[in-house]
Amino acid sequence: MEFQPPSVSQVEQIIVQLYESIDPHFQKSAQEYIQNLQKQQYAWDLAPQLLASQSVNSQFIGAHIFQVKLSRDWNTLPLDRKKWVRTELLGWIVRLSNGSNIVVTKLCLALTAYALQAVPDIWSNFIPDFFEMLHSGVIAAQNEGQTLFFELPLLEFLTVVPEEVLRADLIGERKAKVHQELTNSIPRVFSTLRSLLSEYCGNPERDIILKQKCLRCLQSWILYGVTFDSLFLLIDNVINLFSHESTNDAATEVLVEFISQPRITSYQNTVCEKMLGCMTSDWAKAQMVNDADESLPKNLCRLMTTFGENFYNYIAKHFLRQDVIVYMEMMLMFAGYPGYFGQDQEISEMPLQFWYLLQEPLFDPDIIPVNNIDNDTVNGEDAVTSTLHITPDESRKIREMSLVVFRRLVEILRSKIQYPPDVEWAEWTKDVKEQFKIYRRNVGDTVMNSYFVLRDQMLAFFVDLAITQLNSPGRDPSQWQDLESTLFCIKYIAEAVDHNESVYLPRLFGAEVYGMLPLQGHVRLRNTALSLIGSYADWFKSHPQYILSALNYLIPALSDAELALSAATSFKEVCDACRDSLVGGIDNLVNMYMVVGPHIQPREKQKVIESIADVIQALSPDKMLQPLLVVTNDIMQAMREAVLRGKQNPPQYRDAIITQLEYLTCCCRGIQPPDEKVIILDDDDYELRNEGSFFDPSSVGLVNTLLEITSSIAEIWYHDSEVIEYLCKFLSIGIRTNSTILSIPFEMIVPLIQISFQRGHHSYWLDTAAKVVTIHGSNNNYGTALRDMLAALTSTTIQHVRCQADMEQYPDIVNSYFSVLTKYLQKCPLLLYTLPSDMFRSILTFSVAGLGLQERLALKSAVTFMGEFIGQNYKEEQFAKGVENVMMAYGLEIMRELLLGIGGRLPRSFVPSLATVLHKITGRYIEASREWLNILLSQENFPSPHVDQYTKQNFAKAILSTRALQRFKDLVIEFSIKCRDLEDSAYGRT
Amino acid sequence: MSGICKARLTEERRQWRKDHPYGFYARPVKTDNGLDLLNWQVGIPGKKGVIHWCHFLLPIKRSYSWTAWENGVFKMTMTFPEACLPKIMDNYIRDLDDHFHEAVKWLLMGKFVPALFHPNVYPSGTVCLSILNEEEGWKPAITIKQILLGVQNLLDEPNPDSPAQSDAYMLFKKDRVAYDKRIRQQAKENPA
Repeated sequence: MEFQPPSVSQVEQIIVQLYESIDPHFQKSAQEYIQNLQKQQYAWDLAPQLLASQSVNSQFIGAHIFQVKLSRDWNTLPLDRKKWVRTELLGWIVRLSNGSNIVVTKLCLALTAYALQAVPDIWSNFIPDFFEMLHSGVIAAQNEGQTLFFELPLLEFLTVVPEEVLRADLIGERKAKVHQELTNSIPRVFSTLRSLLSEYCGNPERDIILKQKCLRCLQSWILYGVTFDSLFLLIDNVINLFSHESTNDAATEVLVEFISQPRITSYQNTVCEKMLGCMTSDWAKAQMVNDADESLPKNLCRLMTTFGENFYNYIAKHFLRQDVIVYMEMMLMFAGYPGYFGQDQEISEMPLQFWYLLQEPLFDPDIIPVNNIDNDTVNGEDAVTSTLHITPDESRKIREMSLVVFRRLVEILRSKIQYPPDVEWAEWTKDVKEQFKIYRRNVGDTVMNSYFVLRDQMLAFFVDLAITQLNSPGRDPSQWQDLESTLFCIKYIAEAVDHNESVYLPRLFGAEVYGMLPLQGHVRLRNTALSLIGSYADWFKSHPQYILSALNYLIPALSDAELALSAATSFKEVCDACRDSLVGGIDNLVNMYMVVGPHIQPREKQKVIESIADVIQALSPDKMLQPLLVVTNDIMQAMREAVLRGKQNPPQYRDAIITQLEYLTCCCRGIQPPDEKVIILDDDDYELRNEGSFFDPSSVGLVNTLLEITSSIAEIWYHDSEVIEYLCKFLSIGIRTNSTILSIPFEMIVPLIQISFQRGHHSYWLDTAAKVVTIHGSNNNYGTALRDMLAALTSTTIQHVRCQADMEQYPDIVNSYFSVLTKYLQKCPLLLYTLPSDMFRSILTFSVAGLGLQERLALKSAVTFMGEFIGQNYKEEQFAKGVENVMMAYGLEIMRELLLGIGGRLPRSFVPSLATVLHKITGRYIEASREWLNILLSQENFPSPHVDQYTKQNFAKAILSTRALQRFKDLVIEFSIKCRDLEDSAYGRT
Repeated sequence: MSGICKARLTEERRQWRKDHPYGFYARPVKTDNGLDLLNWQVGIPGKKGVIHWCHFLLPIKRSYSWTAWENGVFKMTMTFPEACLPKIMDNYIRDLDDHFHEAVKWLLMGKFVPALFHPNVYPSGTVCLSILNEEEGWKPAITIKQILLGVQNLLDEPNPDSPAQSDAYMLFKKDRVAYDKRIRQQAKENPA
């Protein structure tokens, strides 16, 4: 249908509705209508007609259409009309310069879009040209009796030009030309700005607007990048405007940009003198307590923080100077800005990172020399002071002073993270609460970093404070907030505190603090106290005499729903870290579990069981069984019952079975040796250092029970994939444990896996089989059983997954099956070749078919297996011969699939892994590869119609003569791009 | 650790402190010999839902879409390769070539502790993200901030082309409702 241009009034009607309608559907269609209009050639004429409207909205859309057309449809504008557009835009800028700001801004954006297209051919020297044209336009208008201020549109244009140039994606000659234009006009722009910033016309309202505009314009040029010298000439004017409320916002922006410039530290001394003067002036100090307008203290804080972040080294070196001291005082006041962060104010978080940055140079001997009185040799002293210009006396004073400052800082920070009274907290919104919590975490980090300055002084301060808070006479029993904040700070410094600390932490965990903490109510305080214990787990390890009292505080909280999570987490940390100290008390722990266990929620109970098992692990092998039997007794009981009842009604008891299986899994995880006692081979394989596995004959009973229960579960819930998932998780982790107590022995687990997998085709059984091979694969005694298991799993898999369509449908089974095969290759590759030959052929056919799948998981596992298969490391001649025979039979097939994948059948993200496999083939079997490549690539349209014989021959030649993998991959990727006909697209190269 | 590598990571740490996205944290692990800049502890908050605006010229709030990851913070350890220098890194890659499929090795390891239920996280917790993967373009110039924002994005928008664990991948593909339920449960178990 041909486009029928609507009349201007129709368009205006739609604009009115766009702005006034509250119906989002209508707005959307109006928006689409206007966007569609912009695409038409007719829009070039519509734009000036809309600009002539009385309505600001129509004018705005008119200017917007110009901007869009100029950016997108420049080429649809005939050459003779290009000058016309410029004249139009300038004309409207002059005519509307006293009108709405947003329209003038839009017009300036449109004119900038014009300039970026027209430079250099149609419009050169566009900035000076704009000055002249605007000037003569305004004079002409004034002659007609209008009073116009040409400064505003001028500043508007000069503001948007550098911004738009930075944003535009310019290339080549135009880019160089445009930047040259801007650089050439800097002197003129800056002299204009300078006179506008220093002159006052007498009309206060107009002066303010002009100054704000000038500052905005200056900011835009700083962001664009101008030399320090040209900027520095204006900085006094800006500082002057900083201390006026009306221009403070804009001046702050300029100063922040000014001191954040990349190379500003080269002018450090000059800049710091000036800025410190500005920031510590009487006017500035008065703003800190300005309640009327939060933006003034906020601007000041932002400026001072930015200053601190850029010049923290300077501040450290001049720590004793009067203006720096004032600066520091003010920064402390900002850190303690009145009101709750998030709810009442948004200032106190800003300066946090400054303190973190300052802490580093204060203790950096290259900045503040270290005075070690014992080693204070005359030579060393001279060498240091001569380069740093700081006398030993000064640096001693700086360090003393820094202790004073940081002590005050942590005091302030502690008070800022204190929760509000409960009633107030209840009224906060969810967002504010979250903001406050994140603020607390950031403060925690700052407190932690301050520890490196204060060290023991900090611990002394907080522990004493906690004691004072608990003992303050007339303390309101419902008050908990102050003490909580103190404990929170102690918790945060745990990471930094020395494990040998033996003065303050004993007082904390002893009778003076923990002995006096409330045991009822005060959930937040108790949660902090509980997690504090966990964060000092490593300290407890070296101070075992305090563990018991800490556990006595933790254990009752386990059965309290509101405290259980932090109690259980800390319990786990302490048991894990201090297992060697806790072995003596294992009976007490187990008894405790018997009492509290039934009252703990499942999620926490898992943690508790794992924790106790951690301690059991540290016992000598012959002592492990007894406590383990006690802990697992009720689990076994519950499972037996669930199995008994589940036989009649499996769905009803599935959840119960899953819960108990999870407990068992946690128990198994606990009795595994900790990381430092094992050698990790890969993600699921490890070897024990020293200790061998231990078999306790009296565990036979437990093992038999386990076997009976797990077999029943596998039978009853064979169709329930979630139950099988948890069952297999338990079996797998059991295989890993060094103790045989909770592990189904090899002879029994193998048939269980075989039968169960046949009964229900869940990939989890294959995963468990892979674990069995990982652990027992290299044991020669198990060769026959392992071969039989592979044969059974293979025939079940291949019967169930018959074709490529099945492979796509059951990618999890394909993936797990290939993982099993890969494990065999790694652990006992010879077993693979002892399979019946038709089965071996089936495996290879299956694998080759896998290389052509679209399903990502199945495909990925097939490619990985193939790479592993071809790349096997073998030492024996006979074995090598065997692999070679296989490759001679299947090599051509494999290579065909790989090349088809590279040539476009598989997604591009797979090309690097396909290339890796191809690399292995050509590396091992170069002669055969030459022949296969020759056969395959000489076929017409193989692997893709987009590559000719010449390209294919070159590719074959190149890859056969390249051994470096990276180069090989590059060649394959290059070839793949050609095959996909993406050679000339930027997309193809990404 | 080479001097340049240390300087680079110190600068990373500084930049992170100066400017990091809301709700994230990242700090080098503390050891007995001070901070270990090669190993970082990071926390990635689940992505918040998005407010949908009727955009163009008018900011009118229309609706809010939740993500299943909201309100969780997921802990990850990040290990930087000893060799940050591109040149040394080349050698590093070459050494790995001897180990066949191992060549696709994370140069920059990201590992969730505990392992996460997510299609692109390996059962061991290792995260698979193209900017973390040297094969697919990890460059030393990428900042920690970009990496972590990338991981946050990946959490909510898994990449089904690059499966790393079968369980989460299968559920994601077959049953989105059940998948989202499991993710929400996971977010609950990893509270902020």
